[in-house]
Amino acid sequence: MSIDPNTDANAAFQRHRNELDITVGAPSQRLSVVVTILVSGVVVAAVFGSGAMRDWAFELTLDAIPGAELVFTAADTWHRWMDWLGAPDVFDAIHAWIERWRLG
Amino acid sequence: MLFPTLDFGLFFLIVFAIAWGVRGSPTGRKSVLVVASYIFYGYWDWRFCFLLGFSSLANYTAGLWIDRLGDARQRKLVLIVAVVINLGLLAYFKYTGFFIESLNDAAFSLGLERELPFLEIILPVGISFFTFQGISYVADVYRRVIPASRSVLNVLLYISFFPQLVAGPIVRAQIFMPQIEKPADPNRIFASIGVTLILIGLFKKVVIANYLATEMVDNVFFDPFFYGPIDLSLAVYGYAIQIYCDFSAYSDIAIGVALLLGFRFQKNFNQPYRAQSIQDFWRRWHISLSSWLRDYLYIPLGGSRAGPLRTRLNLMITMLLGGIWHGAAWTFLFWGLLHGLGLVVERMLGWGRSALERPVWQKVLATVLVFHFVCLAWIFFRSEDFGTALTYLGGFANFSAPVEFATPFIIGLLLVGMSFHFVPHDTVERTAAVVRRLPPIAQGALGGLLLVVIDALGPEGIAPFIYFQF
Repeated sequence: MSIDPNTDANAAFQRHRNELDITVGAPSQRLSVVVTILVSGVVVAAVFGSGAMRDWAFELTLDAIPGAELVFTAADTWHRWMDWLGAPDVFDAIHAWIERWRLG
Repeated sequence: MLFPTLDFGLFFLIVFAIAWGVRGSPTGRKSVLVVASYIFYGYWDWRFCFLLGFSSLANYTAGLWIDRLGDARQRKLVLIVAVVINLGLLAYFKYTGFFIESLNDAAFSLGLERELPFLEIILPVGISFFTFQGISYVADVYRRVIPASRSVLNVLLYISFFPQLVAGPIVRAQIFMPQIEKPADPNRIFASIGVTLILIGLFKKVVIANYLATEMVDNVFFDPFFYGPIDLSLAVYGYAIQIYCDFSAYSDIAIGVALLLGFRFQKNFNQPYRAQSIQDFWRRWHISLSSWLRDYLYIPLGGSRAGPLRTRLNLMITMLLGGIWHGAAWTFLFWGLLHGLGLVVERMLGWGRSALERPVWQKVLATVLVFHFVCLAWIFFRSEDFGTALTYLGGFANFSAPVEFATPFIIGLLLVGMSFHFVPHDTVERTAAVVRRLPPIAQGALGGLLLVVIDALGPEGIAPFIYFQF
């Protein structure tokens, strides 16, 4: 059987086209909703990711946040877990990061 | 500019705001995205923006020219010229050094003392990807799958669109062009899926891939001589997981970023280590490249319709070229050769075709065998040279070496990395559907918190994505 590289190649592509589209049947959102999602994500990431931003925005220390104790208990648990896993360096990096964050 | 950095985060937010802000003007929006893409590309080396521009203009001109010609032979001639220009650029920047080195090695082995001068050519990031996109554009115009674009802006944007510019997916013109020709619809943005993909991608790259690389894989592949079979096995499993988490993460983030900007790309990975045959693996791994090779190389060579011998030859040619596409080294060529041989043997034995009708235990066995074959090939793919790969393989008999990496942490990373293959294939869509039930502010807050957690969990510093070098 002879082959037509033009039509055969495109047919192969078209056969699988829909299988590879992750948005088929998926719900979409309006731009205003997307902007709300992004702005709230950026604010939360900035506040929780940066000591300077947190202090500037809320003038809070981490201790003043309800549940701060829980965060430190969780961090200590993680430390013990990482020690057990044999990778204390991982915790050291996270601990140093939390300290920088806490102290601003 | 790497995806998992603050630089890119800020860049994206600015581009998002401006691109949607000027959505009333399609030309304005496209211009913003083209300028943003060139800034993104110029962040590595601004000089290569000229190369990107030249490639886009050459393909734009060729497309128009082919479209205007009626004579089949003339159309084919222009197509050949365009393909030669595209491949010529790729060959010069990517393979010149390799050819000179190989020629010098061959001359040395023949006892010739004269050496060709070594040329230091910087490899422009992403050249393999945008070259293939350029070829697919002119080939699709030639095949009359799409009309040639009259707008140079459309072609500039198609070739340079920043989410997929440097490491894919290789987006087809027939998928992308209709999207840029339509005005952006602000009521139809797939944000939940986009954000979910970005967060999953960041987790795979920043936590799984980076830890596996820094804690084990890089050390073992740097000098495998010192390690025994357990560490070598863990390291090659680790590399299999690392390269999947690294490359699929890039694709996930690229698809997610594009969705937020109002563009849809196709899936590039589909749980590849669940494959039950090598053929199945290539339908799941780097789908945009494997389907490109199928449609623009394998099928034009005759595909599987020109007799069994020719089919085998076509498979070998396709996989060898697929191998060398990844990098200018004999190890990549050998990696392609192994996969080509795998496909040929599978076809001869009829294994690929009967995969679906097998009993469960055979499917499980086939998955395990295919995974280990792929891992064996990864050893050549990852090793600096053949010597290192052979040392690696020889190390499997080195039972006196102490075990260093069989820690719960490493095994945990491998299991988490592998777990992406054994969740339902529509997990992203399901997760996005659950997240979407939350109010928008809570969706964003959750995303922001997860971003901070991912950043905290990952090791310090961000390694470049593996596929940048290709």
